Amino acid sequence: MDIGVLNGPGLRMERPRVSGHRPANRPRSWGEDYASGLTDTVSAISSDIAAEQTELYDTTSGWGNVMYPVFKPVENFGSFIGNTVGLMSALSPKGMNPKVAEYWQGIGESFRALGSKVVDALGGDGRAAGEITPALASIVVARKIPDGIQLLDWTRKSPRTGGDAAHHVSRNHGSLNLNKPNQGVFYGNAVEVVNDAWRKAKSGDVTPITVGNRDIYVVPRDNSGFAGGAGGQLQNFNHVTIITEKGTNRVVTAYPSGGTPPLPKNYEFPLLGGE
Amino acid sequence: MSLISIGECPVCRQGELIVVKDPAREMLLVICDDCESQWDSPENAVKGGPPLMDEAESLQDASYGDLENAGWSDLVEHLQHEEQAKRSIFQSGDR
Repeated sequence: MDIGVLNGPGLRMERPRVSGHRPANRPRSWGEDYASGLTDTVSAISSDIAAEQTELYDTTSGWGNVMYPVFKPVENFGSFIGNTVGLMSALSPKGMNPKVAEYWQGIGESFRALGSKVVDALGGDGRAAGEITPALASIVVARKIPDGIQLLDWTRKSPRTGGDAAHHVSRNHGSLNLNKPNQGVFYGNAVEVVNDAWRKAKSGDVTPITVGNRDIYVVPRDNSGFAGGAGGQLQNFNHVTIITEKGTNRVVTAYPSGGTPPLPKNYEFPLLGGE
Repeated sequence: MSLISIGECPVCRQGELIVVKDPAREMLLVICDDCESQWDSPENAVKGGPPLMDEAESLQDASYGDLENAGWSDLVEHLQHEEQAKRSIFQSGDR
């Protein structure tokens, strides 16, 4: 195979170049490609601004012209984010995490939509003005962080004690308490262990069991804690049970546990039979 | 004020069921002190009935007087009976 395209004309694979000057048409590095692509993006955006500004000045007057410098950058910022993420995604040696790329591209598109709505509203006949608020809201509401990188929300306040979830978990499962009949006790920092387990849960295939207003996740994670409380025998626990408010990532409680979720009370075991 | 505990939570099996009062709705509830699932009656909670979907947001621990006032005197009787049984076991163990 002739690899002249990569290493210069006339160089064959069996004669690899090991010293001397590099050929003039050597492949550019990732950094060079990235910088060049970024420069192209910025210059494309600049020329776009100039062209649109001219058009706007020719066709509109009044507020459109006055507010243009204020809102047009919002749209351009959107283009910038979208294009940059596209570039990074394409040029990154391992490729950017598709979910992260999608997220940032979505943010870029939202800003671009918002900027364009504002410019239309101010420069045109005002019909687009009513769409500005939904466009702005879409940036805040609809751009939910993808599941793969969603973190736990620890801000839930206990209705009984008023403490937040981190305080609640640390108090109930941070150290051995013989007053509790059953108690999973974490090794180390309870919040860090739970966050780590949650990352594993989101990257793996852990689906919750829903009981009433709670979602119960049982996540495999080695050496998370031990069996404490009055009934515990200090057995090692290789799972973390995370209980959230139903359908959300708001933590209610979490504790190290065995691999099975808590069975419903009065569960009728089918193998025991009946009389 | 001591907590009024009526058993183990059927949802998480880690917490205790505590009787509390909801000042906003002026009613008594049962809540798990760990997973904080709530029930509107001790029977539902102890038997593993469905927890409330509309949860109260601010709760206070209840007293035996609150239980009497709310008509939960059966529960008070049951708890007092249990308490006496425990005491008699400890007393017989001391001999």
